[in-house]
Amino acid sequence: MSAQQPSPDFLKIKKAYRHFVTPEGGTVRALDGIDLSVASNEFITLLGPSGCGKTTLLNIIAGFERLDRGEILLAGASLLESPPHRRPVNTVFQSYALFPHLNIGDNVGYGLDVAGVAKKERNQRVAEALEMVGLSGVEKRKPSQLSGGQQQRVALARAIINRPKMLLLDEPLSALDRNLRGKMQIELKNLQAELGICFLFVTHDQEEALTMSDRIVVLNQGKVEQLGTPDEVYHRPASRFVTEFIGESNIFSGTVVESGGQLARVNVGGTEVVCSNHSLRAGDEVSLLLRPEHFQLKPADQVNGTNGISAVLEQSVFIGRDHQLHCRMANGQPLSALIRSSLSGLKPGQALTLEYDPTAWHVIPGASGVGTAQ
Amino acid sequence: MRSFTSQQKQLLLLLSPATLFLGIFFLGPLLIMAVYSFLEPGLYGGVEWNFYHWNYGRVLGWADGFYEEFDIVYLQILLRSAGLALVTVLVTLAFCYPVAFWISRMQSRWKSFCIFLIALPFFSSMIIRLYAWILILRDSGFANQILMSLGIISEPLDLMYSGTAVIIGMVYIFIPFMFLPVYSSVENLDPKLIKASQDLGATPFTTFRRVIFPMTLPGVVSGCILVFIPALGNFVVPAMLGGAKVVMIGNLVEQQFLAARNWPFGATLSMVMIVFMLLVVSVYLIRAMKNPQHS
Repeated sequence: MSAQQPSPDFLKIKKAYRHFVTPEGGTVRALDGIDLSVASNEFITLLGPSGCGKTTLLNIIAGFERLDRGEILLAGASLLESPPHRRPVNTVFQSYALFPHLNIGDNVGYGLDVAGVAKKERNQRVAEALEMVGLSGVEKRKPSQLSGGQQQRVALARAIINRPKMLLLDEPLSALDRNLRGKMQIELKNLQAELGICFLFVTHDQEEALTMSDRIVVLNQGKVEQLGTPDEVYHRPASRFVTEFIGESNIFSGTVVESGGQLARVNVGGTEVVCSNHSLRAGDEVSLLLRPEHFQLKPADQVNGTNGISAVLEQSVFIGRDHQLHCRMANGQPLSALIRSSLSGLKPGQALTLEYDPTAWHVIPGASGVGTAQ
Repeated sequence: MRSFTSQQKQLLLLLSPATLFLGIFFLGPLLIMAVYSFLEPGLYGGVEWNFYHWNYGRVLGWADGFYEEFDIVYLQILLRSAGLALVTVLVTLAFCYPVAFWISRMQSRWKSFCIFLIALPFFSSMIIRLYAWILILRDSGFANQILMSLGIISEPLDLMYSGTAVIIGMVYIFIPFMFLPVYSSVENLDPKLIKASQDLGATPFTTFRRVIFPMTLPGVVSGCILVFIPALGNFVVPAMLGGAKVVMIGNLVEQQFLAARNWPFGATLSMVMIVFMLLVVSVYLIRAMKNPQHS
């Protein structure tokens, strides 16, 4: 496939609304005014808990569901008027949806067969597509004779054989075991780079999203919570929801006590924390976030000034390279820290001082953390 | 002597009631029928124990040497019965296939209700239900009254005692036999497969031809067999709704045993019918054995 100049507005979703009525009579807003622009060569992930609207959006792009209001443009042309079989997008389904009555060759070649591609070219392209997903020579077998991972590859080959402008992937890795999933994540990313087309990937697995995506769209209750690169979403979450959904985090609500120069002091339920000053003023309500891995365990006498939090260790869990420490601060709030494991022999009930870098705190104005990050 | 493991012994024990029952009440009568079909008819019913091949000759049209000229009337009746059974199969299929899709898309409580409705006729006697059809179809029946009061016809249609009445009755009787297997294969069809087909560029018609129909074919074939075989041998519906005008092979067998008291010839007609059915079904069985995942 030729690498054309990527267009930044390849897929454009404008003010998309879609609601469902539940059997109980309630209303669920699956899409509540979504605006999104996706580039033509981008690996973009829709991430969110179940019911956040991510699968609905994918189904609408594929043509299996309609939009209440709004517009979706693909390469400048509206998608919404064409039926699913005329849209230049293909889908990899969650449960693969391979045709059980057809062999692998006929499954992969289905798109070419219904388009009336000549036998010779069809067979060649089937072989190419299977080779691309690392599964040559299985044309004569039936889907039921393949393992889950192999079926996954067949589904992928079947979806790319029509040379779609965009590939939609609906939690395609969720049925695979952990090791295979990790391997497929990298293969998918490589395949996307090789094809040079846009992959729209839907998942509820934040790790998967962070591993593969160029950009992540975090969805919650039909709204975009944050749109950013994996780094941005992880280190600069836009809201408390994003923080809680992606990775583990310590979240504290507090009031600014004093701010001046580079740093600000915040009172978190009696404990003072020093963080970077994002034009805060004394009396402001803020939410403070710190990832567990940004704490360091230091002997009490080596802590530099006030950049430490005293806490009592409640439980220490060995998770391989690291120890996860579940602690409780003096004000009673829980605190989680991840430190490099050693034979130090920490015991529950032990008093610790956890040191942090003041610039590592992520500050969200407002106690509830709904505001925008600065 | 080979010894059985305890598991095999358990299995034998569990299967023995079914084996005994089928052995006594299915294979036994079948064997008696096969033997009788080669015996000479007794003068007042029953059989004479002499080998007699004219029974089969008579079915195929040859005169039996005593009573008849060469006449293929029995083969004609068999073929006409097969034709009526085939029409019944096609009409029930045309009715059940779309309805099965419609019901499978409903919410689950409506689904159960509709399946209950389909099975509801089984709750009353078939004879009573066929009498109801007589009330509907006869000259002064509901069908004619409604059509006349609407001004569609001016004189009553001659519906009763015709091939049409027999087909209406058979379709009515056999709809559940077609519906249930067809519905179960439609219900098991994964909607994602239909989506996948559309997604890959297939039009709705191509999706039907390449995915929906092949995937539901096993249910359709089961339904066709379940309707065709009893419809072919049915004698109650033609007797009640067809009168003397529509004689099917089932009526013929009944007449031979009960009216003509020619047991060997009745047995022969039954054997010919069984062989005919086996030929029809074996076409499907051979296909199913070649493609195991279809059955």
